Amino acid sequence: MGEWKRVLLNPRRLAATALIVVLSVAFFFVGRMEYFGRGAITRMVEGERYYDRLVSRTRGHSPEEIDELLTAEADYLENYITLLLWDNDEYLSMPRAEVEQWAAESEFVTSLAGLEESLREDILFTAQYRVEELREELQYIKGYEGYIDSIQKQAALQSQTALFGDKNSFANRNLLRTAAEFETMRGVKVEFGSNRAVEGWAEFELADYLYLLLIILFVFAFLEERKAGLWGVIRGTSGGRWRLGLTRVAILLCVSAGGAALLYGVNLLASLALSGGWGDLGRSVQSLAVFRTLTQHITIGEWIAQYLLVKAASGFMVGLLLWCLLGSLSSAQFSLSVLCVMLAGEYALFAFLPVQSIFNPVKYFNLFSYIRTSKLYTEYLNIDLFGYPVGIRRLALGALPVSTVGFLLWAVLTAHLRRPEGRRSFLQVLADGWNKCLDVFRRRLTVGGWEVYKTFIFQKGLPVLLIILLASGTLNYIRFSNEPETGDPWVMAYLEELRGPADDYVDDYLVAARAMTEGDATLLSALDEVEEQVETLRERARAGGYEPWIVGPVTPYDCVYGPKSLDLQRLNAAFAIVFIILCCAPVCAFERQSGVVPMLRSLKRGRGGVFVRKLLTTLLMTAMIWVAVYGREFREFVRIFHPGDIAAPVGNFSELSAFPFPGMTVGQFLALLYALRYLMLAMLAMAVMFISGRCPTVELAYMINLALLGLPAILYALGIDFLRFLTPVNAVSVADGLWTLATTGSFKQLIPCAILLLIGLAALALNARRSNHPTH
Amino acid sequence: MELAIQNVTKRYGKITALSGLTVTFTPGIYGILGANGAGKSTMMNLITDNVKRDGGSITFDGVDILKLGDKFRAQLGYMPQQQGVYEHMTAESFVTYIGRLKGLRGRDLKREVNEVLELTNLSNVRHKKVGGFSGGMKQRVLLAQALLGDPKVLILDEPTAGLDPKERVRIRNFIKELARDRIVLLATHIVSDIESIADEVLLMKKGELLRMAPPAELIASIPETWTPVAYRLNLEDVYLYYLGE
Repeated sequence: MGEWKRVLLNPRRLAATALIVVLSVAFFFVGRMEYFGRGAITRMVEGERYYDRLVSRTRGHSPEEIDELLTAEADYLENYITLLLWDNDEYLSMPRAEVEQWAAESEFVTSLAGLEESLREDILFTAQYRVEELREELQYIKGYEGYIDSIQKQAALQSQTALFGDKNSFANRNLLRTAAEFETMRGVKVEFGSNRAVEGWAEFELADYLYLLLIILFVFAFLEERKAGLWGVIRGTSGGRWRLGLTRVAILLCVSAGGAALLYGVNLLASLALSGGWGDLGRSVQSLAVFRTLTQHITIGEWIAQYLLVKAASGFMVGLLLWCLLGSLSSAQFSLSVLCVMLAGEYALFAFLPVQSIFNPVKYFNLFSYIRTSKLYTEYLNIDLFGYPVGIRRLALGALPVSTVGFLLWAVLTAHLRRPEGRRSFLQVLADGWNKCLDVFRRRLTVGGWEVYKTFIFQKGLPVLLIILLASGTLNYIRFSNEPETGDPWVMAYLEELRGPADDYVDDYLVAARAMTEGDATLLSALDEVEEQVETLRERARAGGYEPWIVGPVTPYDCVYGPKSLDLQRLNAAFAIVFIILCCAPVCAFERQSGVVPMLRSLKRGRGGVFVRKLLTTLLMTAMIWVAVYGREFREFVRIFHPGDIAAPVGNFSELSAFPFPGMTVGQFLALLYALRYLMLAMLAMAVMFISGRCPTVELAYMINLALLGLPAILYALGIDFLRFLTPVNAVSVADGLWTLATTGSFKQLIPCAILLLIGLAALALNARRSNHPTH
Repeated sequence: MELAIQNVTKRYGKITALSGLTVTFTPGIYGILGANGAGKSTMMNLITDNVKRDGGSITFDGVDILKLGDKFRAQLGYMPQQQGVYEHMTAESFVTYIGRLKGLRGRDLKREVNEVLELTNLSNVRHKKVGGFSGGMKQRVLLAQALLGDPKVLILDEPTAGLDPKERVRIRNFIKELARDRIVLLATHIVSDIESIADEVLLMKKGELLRMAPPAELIASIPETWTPVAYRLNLEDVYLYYLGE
């Protein structure tokens, strides 16, 4: 019982397990959102409710009737949104009265009546996406029989070619097998229904990796006595060998089953509760488009049960394998390195080995096949095993019990037979050689170089930055406008031609253009309007004391830095905050955890010298995060931005004419924005350093910083609005403040930046003081 | 060269760790004896400015060490009692890093690192990570870093704890050699380490300095009637006589 209690009830492991489950659920829901920020949750929930209602309305109808219903719904929604946004009959494809009548009778539309107008519009857009999804599903349902037919036809056709004709070849056998397996699917009833809950759940990849993390967490619990130097003591007890091994096998089995139930079960229940579809689990699994290639006669509900069992069994097998491998090492200090190398190698084979490769059995008989188990059901592929085609699902699932028994025996025998002492560790010899080489390099490091080295290598800054770099690649920056372009196309064309300084060239151009109109009234009228606009521009510029400039529309700026993309700016700022915490939290806590502070403080350069270098390292990491998050944003902006505007004074944009420094060019404005963002991130990093400097361990520094700064930031960005006073998201984003300043002349939205600046400077001063003076 | 502690007091809340301590150190070895909580480590922490003093002054050659700041720390070699090391560093890189923080560079750094590793018998494990070392080996790494940079004031808090007898004798003899032109403060529970090398012994109890005298004088100060069995008295008897409850 002692081992069960030690492993399962360890508070840190329990906390980590809870965190993994929370992260899984949180990311699952974030993945279901199409929009972040205020009202995001309402938008998602209403969208899902609409989907559920719409699916309910299709029950008992033929595909043709469903098609009609969905088409009508899409038309009504389109027209209703158009009416709501622009209130212009010209844009409607049906009579206004009909649209209004539909809206009055629609339960969905009337249920939104109490909501804010902008939120109502957002929900209507979400509803449009849901209708489109259902229409695609309907197309799939209608085409399934045709798909089966096409496989048979293709097989018949290909078997006549020379490449597939040889009856003793893998190609021929594979062709025949594929045709035969899909032939058994003829007659399977694919039905229209609520697919969103199960499809979304089956495609949620992150849960697989979190499940692996959970298994690793518990496997490492079995190696704890080695790290603590207690291996010999445990092995010397009466129950410390095979009996302990068997107990751990049982614990691992429970953890695998419980973990699968928790991580996958919770998400499935939540998904079904959100999108509906409880009653549709009796349909054939092929009714879900993701399972088009699955050749198994099974209902959705049966597939879920089978999948959960396979997940638990796979988790158990993977856990045993990791335990066997890590348990076979003589030195526990290499466990993490060996684990990383092994997982990286397996993943490389799984992800990058071409399907056609002759080594493809190792691609599918691979650790990651048992981690990304859903792929076994959603991909149909036979691989060449001694000339015979074997399905990847059959191969992986067939090998599962055999491997499990093998690894189980290995694990118990290792626990029983492996002696803690007296072995020469091959890895230790390798590590010594490696360290010797590294010492040649490390000998040359200066104090600053050492600080960077400690941060990036010892405190795992480098892998964290790599993960950040990958994660930041998934961020979005642009909200494209749905508004149609308005205005005279000739005026717009002339203005486009004249983009640049509104100098004499413009006047000459207009004179020449007039001469070329040959009296065309439309062109003359357009030129009049252009002249008027140029004159207004010049007058405004004269009053503001800056150079007049004909600029394009403000839309590209609005899409990236303006209110249109406010939700994305906040989400990206929240991620930047989390990234800063992940990188900077260990910087000060690491020394305290290592217990070297008193010694460092007694050294000539161990106070201010170390602190200044820590500060510079932190600023360097901040710069990397700034580039990762906002460098990408700028790259996205450049794609939609007209470079000719870069030297134009900001005041020339009528929307931004309230900016207190209208003579500042667009380039300078953007430089100011990005410089302010770096400053804000740096100030945040100072606050993180301040907190972590007071934490005795790196772990605690992460936890406190994430709890105080990271979690509120993410929750606020996802739409929990009252947290805006408790998080520096708006300060880090800066764009909202600068945009408001430019459009209204009000500094109010920049107050969060000022507060963060003060907090950052205070934290910096206190950190500097602490580094130079004793605390007790 | 003189390190003078004048009427120094230190309190942790209601607990008085040091009460009006006055003592002057000139080159030589000073063994500091006292039970746990006697104020030995507090005194060392005050000299290294790791804790704030509540009163009094500590001067080095007549100037307050707080005013001297970096200049004083450049003369200081400190081996703390707590075995705090960067576990991921190798012995060589750890000592090199500390050398850098002491202001050493280039050939001097390389030569000194080699010397202290040789001296502490760590040359053969210089490329192994400190995290994998036993307690005694970590102790030697900490001693090695304290010796770097030719410090004029060497503060060693339990330097021989965890070392085997051979290593202890080696280190002890080395400290004896070092002390010719240095001030060495050596706090330990291993009384025999002090007896053979200390020029003077400080007996501390409950934050106060009870006595400070050469070992022979302290031994002679114990009345012969103190022990019922006749044998040659040593510093352990001094410890028990003055500090035993």
